[in-house]
Amino acid sequence: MSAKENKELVRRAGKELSEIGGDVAKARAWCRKYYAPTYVYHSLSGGDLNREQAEQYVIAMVTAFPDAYVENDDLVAEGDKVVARYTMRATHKGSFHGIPATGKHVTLKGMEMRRIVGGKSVENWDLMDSLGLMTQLGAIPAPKK
Amino acid sequence: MSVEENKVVIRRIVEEVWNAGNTALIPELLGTDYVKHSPGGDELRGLESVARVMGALRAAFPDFRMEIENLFGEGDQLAYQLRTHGTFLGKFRDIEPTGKSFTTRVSIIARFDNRKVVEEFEYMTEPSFLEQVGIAWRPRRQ
Repeated sequence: MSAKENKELVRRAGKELSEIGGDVAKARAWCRKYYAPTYVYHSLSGGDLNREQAEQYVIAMVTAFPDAYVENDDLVAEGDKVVARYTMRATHKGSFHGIPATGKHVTLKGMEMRRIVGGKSVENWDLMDSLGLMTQLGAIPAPKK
Repeated sequence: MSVEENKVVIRRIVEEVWNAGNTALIPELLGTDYVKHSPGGDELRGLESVARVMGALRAAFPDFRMEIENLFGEGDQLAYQLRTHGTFLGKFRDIEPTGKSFTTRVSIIARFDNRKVVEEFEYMTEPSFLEQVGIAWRPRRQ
């Protein structure tokens, strides 16, 4: 697949992720469609998740934020790599990292760098403003300016 | 101006400016209206700000180093990923050094104009970094 096709794939995956609506079966189907069996998710903490663990993570996210809407602010691709700078807008309706639902509207910004082979992601380096998210959820105090 | 030429600029910024500390090269590689957007909406504007932040970082982490792990792009944009290392040996802002080492991953999208970087969006493994160098940030459990 070309870099252009890979970008289109990332666009479509983002759109379909926004349509899951907290449905666990849909989240599983989405992971099967877009993740290769050998998929590795390089997480924010520095640790790696395999495909099954990554699926659990997606399920946890869509359960905590069922109305999550993902927009790509920038897409850049070359060869088998695509980077997406994204903004996720959502309402915190389920438990997240031990924080019970707050009903708060949150905005999460981040950047995903993917390697795509044959129409599926084989590797994803995801970095996001998790401190900003935790601050919006009231779990950590706002930083001093 | 090609993507390959832009990659040379990024390699020089990493190797010559950040790793070797040659801040005199900054005006050659970054545009005068350079702006870096960081998580949370923080912005770093202008070449003097870049040199100031670099100085503060190198004072706090004297062995600070970065390596390029991914570098690709199209048109006037490049994406790159860095692995950064350092040891917290000098005061940073009002935080006393802990003597602990860190390694983090940073992802950046850069936009070029006339062979210079004019805009960057940056994300890093921030919680992991704070934990490694020993700065408390843990969420309050409710």
